[in-house]
Amino acid sequence: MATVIGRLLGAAFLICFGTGLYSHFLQDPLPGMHFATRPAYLYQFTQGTHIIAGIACFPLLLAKLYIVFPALFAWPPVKSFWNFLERASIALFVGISLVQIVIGLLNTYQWYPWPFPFRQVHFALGWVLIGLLVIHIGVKLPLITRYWRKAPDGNEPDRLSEAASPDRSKNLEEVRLWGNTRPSGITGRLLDYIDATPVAPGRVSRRGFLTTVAVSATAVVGLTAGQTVAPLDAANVFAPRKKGVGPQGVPVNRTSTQAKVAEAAMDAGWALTVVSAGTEHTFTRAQLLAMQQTEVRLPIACVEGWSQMATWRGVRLRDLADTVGADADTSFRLISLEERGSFSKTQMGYEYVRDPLTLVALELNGETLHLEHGYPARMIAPGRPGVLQTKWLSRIEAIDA
Amino acid sequence: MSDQLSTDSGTPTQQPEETRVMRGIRLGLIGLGVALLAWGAYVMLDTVRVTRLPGVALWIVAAIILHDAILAPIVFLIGVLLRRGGQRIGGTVVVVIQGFIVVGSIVSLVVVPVIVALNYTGANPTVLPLDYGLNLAVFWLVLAVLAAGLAAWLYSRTKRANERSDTLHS
Repeated sequence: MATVIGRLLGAAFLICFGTGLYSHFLQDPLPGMHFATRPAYLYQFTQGTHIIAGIACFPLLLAKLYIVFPALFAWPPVKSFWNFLERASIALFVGISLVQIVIGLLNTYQWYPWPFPFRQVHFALGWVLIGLLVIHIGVKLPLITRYWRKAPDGNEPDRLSEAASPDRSKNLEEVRLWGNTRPSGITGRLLDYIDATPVAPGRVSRRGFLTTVAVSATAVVGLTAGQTVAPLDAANVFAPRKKGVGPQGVPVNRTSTQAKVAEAAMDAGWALTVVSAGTEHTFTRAQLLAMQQTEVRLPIACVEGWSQMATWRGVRLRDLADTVGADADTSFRLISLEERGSFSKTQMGYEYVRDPLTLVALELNGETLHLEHGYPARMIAPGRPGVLQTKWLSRIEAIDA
Repeated sequence: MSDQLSTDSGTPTQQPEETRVMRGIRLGLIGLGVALLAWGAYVMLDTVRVTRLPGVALWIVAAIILHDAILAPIVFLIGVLLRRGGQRIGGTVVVVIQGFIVVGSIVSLVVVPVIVALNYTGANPTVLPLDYGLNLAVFWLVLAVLAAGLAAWLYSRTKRANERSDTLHS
């Protein structure tokens, strides 16, 4: 049983790690890194999966810990130096797993009640966690392969690790733990009480347990995934975001008040500066609107796991780059009116600059771009995290190679 | 047992070979894991200010204590009490009741922090726009109705089966 849940949990951890790395490198690419711009929903898919798998970890991790809980009372507590190391690594594994999924969950609604920076710690702990997972698999490999070859059916007495019923295993564990001599006093009486407790037949209890885990996972995922999976929108009663809720039908990650940009953004003298080869070109909003306008359907997809399809209209970044004479392999730096904030200056690789779907957007869903969505102008590109879809654009600079 | 015997007698010479391969894979995995762990520790030291590290350690230790010393014993105790209290109702129904409590608790575990967070977030009205308290109450209600229906059905089914076997025996 521990390996059945363990496989699912391990898979969920690996999915979270892979999609997390992808998201990380999109935001902080290593030198020379380039990414696929299609399918346009790529990031919506990977990050939605990251959050869905992370939420599914709650029932899976708790189930796994429930099954192996008796092992906590193994006697003697430490058999050898290696045994001590293994137990220490498991303690760390459990603690970090719990911290990782909890801070990840709270981050999805932008609540940070902890004394450390979220992004850096979540990233570093991701590596540590995968390391501990690989160590754990290495230590338990004989057990895992034994189960892999032969799936134990419910009727067969399950002697390989725990008993068929997680509850019965506790009793077995206690016998192993205390031997046949019972301590007297309250402890002894408590153990007698526990042992005298009737146990449901192994098959019933095993089925019931797996069903309970499956229903829990379905509930937590099914009732939140609607924040990114459109068909599940109607069932979205617990997610931190709701499709269509926000100005112009699109949720907002960072408001103009939070970014302290309202004044600069509403300034009538605003113009977008595009810099190439040391020359500055400025475009007023009227000038941008006078250029060829393109309409695209692109999702905005956030690291927090929500996404929203929308219709954007504006000038292709490619056209702007050509107008100022930038080469086809020039990457750009995007600078927001926002003065503080970790994403006020970001970079866009040339693969996105050259994509015909990448716009300096001026309109959203048929209306002038709302201030909360980045008025006077914002970036929208396929397959990038929302934090890189720079709002309240101020400058676009060619990064000359 | 029989399975073990057949493996032993079927391929007696292969046994040490397999364990050596297994040992190699295991050591490789453990080595890789230690390397990943070390890299993670390095990334942590490299990107997080030293003064913030005790906070990280505190959260990890607190998570272990919260789970192992508080949450797990409570869950275990509830399980024992339920099974004792449910001796008359029969195992299947007890399992349904357990399932009901567990599913409700896990969903609550994920949703209650949202309700708490509503007191601390609020600068952005598009974050947490739903009535989570109400939704959670409705969820428990729906779950209770479903569990009660399932338990009643299982109970009546067992009862009928018992009656039938009684008639057969008499």
